[in-house]
Amino acid sequence: MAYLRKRIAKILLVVLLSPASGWADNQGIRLTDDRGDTLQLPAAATRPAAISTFGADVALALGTAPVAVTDYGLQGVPDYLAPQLSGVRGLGPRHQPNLEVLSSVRPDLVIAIRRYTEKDGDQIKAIAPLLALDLITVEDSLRAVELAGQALGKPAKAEALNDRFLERVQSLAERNNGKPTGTVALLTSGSETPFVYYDHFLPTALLEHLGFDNVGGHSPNPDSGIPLGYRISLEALLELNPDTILLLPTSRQCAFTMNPVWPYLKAVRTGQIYEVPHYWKEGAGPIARERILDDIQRLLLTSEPE
Amino acid sequence: MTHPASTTSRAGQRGLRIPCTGPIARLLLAGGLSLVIVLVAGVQLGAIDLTWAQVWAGLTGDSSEHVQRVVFELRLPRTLTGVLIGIHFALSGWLLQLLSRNPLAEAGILGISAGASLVAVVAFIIGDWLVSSANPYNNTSFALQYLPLFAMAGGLVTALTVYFLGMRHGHLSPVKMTLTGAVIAGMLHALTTGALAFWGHAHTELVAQWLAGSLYGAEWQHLRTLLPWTLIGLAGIGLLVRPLEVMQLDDQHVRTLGLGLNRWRAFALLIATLLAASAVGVVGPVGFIGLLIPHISRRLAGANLPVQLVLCALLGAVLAVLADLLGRTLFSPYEVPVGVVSAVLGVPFFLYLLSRQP
Amino acid sequence: MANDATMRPAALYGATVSFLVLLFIIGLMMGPRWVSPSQLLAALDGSSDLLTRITVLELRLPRNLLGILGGAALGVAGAVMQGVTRNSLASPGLTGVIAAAALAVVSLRTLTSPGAIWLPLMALGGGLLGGALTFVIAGRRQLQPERVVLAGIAVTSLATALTTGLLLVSGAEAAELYYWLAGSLMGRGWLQLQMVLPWLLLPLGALFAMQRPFRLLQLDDDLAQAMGLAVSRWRLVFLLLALLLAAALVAFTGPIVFIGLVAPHIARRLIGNQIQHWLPLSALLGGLLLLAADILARQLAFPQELPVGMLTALIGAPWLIYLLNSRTPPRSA
Repeated sequence: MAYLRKRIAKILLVVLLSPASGWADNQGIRLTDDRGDTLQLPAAATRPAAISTFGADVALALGTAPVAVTDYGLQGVPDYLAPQLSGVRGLGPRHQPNLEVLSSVRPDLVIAIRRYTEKDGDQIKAIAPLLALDLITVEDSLRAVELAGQALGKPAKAEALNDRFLERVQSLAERNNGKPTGTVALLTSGSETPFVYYDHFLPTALLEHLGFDNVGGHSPNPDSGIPLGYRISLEALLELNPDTILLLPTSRQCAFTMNPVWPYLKAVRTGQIYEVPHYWKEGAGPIARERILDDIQRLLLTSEPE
Repeated sequence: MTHPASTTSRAGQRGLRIPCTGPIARLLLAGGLSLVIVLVAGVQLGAIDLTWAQVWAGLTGDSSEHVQRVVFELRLPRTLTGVLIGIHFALSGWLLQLLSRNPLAEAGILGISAGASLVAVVAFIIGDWLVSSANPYNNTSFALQYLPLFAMAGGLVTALTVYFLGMRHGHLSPVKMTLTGAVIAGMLHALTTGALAFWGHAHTELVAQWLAGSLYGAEWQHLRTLLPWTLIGLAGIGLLVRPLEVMQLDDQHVRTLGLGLNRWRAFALLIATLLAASAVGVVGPVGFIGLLIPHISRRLAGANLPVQLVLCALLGAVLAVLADLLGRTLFSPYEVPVGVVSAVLGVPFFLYLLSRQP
Repeated sequence: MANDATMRPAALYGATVSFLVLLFIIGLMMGPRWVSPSQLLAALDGSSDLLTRITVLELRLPRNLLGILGGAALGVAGAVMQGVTRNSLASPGLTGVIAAAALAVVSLRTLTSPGAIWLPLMALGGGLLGGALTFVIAGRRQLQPERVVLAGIAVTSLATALTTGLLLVSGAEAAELYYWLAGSLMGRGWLQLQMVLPWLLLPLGALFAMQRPFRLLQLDDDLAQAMGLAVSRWRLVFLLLALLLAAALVAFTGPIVFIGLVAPHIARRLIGNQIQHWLPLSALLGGLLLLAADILARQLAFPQELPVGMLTALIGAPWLIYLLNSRTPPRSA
């Protein structure tokens, strides 16, 4: 308990004192993004373009509608944001945003996922200031929301979003404290080659905060955040035998039922498998992360006996 | 196919002869005109509609920032890069088909694309692990900056390996080189897919885009990187035209003419490799241009090597720019990479060509 | 009469089968968790703990069997293609069959959510198209070895370009599909083995029953015709069966190259003129190679698994280059 409180306090401290803080003065807004680059905005941005789900998410959460967003090709924009994004210009996929379209919408800020846009950084910067963000861990998410808030001229609202999120995590942790939790695995595709996520990934980190034990383990490359996980052999999965399995959506029908160890896993036999929505994969945005907490609460916490 | 008496270049003559007789001139004119047309289309058409006046204003620097950017920073360098890689791949394929005396040869058979791809994938992956502890801000930019150089080096090393393994009894055997190239390319491709599958989970989409051969994000810097190689390649080809004509005769004749066959072959191979590897380094592997264009130029130009050469360069550029144009306008804002479009366009045409052959 | 350079068939068969059995047992013991022989026996008679039993019986046993069967299928497919086209470079990988089959499966999985039964059918269709395209491009009459290879490369690069293009629109599935494209036996259990079994056993059985026409086809066309064989019809049948074997396997394991090329070559070397043993030995050697590659794949990157396609390429390619260097360019048998 005290450990959890200390952990959350530590996160807040890191966020407040991190070099990623910026400030506003009458010369405009200055920010340092996750590339270490400094952005200079003459005024708060009102026309953000989003290259990644996070950008759209945070813009909507802070009340500034984005002027252009990237999407998933055949699958379109993420479901949970779709109603609010109708009519917004599409930029193509997040790793290849259409620069001509981006230029034509005349944005004054681009909120992007760093690892996909870094290679085109110069060209995007020429169109509008680029806020490139790592969006992997909880700390990344908090910092990213704060930066976006400053860039969009709504720092107080961003801070409120962060505070509310952290309070909610903490209260859930306290409520769950002392109850039997178990091991959990977050997998994509349970079929032939399941991929399991490490502890630092946002959803699994949240699960860990709430007392669950992620079988994915620690990342071997903690400074970088990449890779996000690894392909787990079925024998290893069987040995780890998580109590609960969360599956990210896959387009293959019932792919996991083809897995030979599937019937033998404890989670399968006790019925503790749940499919989680797609935003678990890109959960750094304020709306998405609240929904992840909703899902965790609904699936894993309320089913615990009082 | 007409063979006017004056057009066959004689082996003993110096310099390049591009005779100006009727059919040839018309051919070259048509080629040049198509190039101009696609160039213009490439600058005008795209995801955003622009009028002629806007394009002109953009070129002369007289318009809004957005139009200026689209025309001058996005479309113009991209189209010109397309021209260059079209020339590179087409000429490289042409040389290789001549060298191996096989109409199905192209840069892929030397393993250049496969070698460059493997190095590119590895560079992407290693970029994660390299600098993570030192400066967390510097992870991938190191790999990305030098990616063209790495990829080109990978292609060159592979080609050299294939070349050396393709020697038989001390001189180059086209057959053995082809087979060795096929085996090595297959191996490298499997390794590339494996490496990407095993380590590349976080970068799959990025690498996939590179592996498809794409002009996305091409800027003036890419053009600057590529141009010296184009000039080197063209100069080399200029030197090679006469020896190539001689090499068209069979080996016995050639030896009696005392031409130092091996040395010229090696040189031609080097030029073909440099052309292909530099292009692959900048845009990734684009397969079909080098396979298809030499066929077309041979059909149109007959046995006349210099005309084949010029036509090859022109048509290669046209195909590359056209493929890229189609790729970025058909499903806007999504883009189909130039490698995929040229493959889709190329295959039916290729089959048609081959079906007409004896 | 076996000559000095070749081994007696009985010894050959004995050696390969013993190797196979040995590898099979090692494959049952080896993995992220080493299972000792006594534990193995316990698992087989049901007296060990659940984890060991599942590991051995559900994971490793069917996987090893699939490795042997799949490798045999590839080996035989390669031998058949080489034999009936009299081109020692014909193989499912080099003639574009595998790449085209993989393209078919990837397009099916990207554009729809297929039931498992459609995968081998689609793979077969794709493989058929790819193989047909290669032979058309190579020119029907001549079929010079290098032309077939180059045509196959052209078809393979086309299929690869289209596959890569498809992967760009497959969004989140791309990483999964890339893993599949690297070729792997991981996670193939009894269910997959059951599904692929008819596709592999029936053609294999048919091919072994048709040994006489097969031998005749390897002679000159005119000679075979003089002996009463409808040459082009039989050739087509054989090629179709070979295609079936390769494409069906691709549907379940992803593309695995080089085995169809290397196994027949090694078999050829070992048996010399005794052509009647070529097919069976190609089968055995193919199974041996794939099983060995799979075992290595399980161990080398412990605790993860490498895709087996990488290993067959690493094993097969240097061997092929050695072959290319040790004798004159492979021509007709």
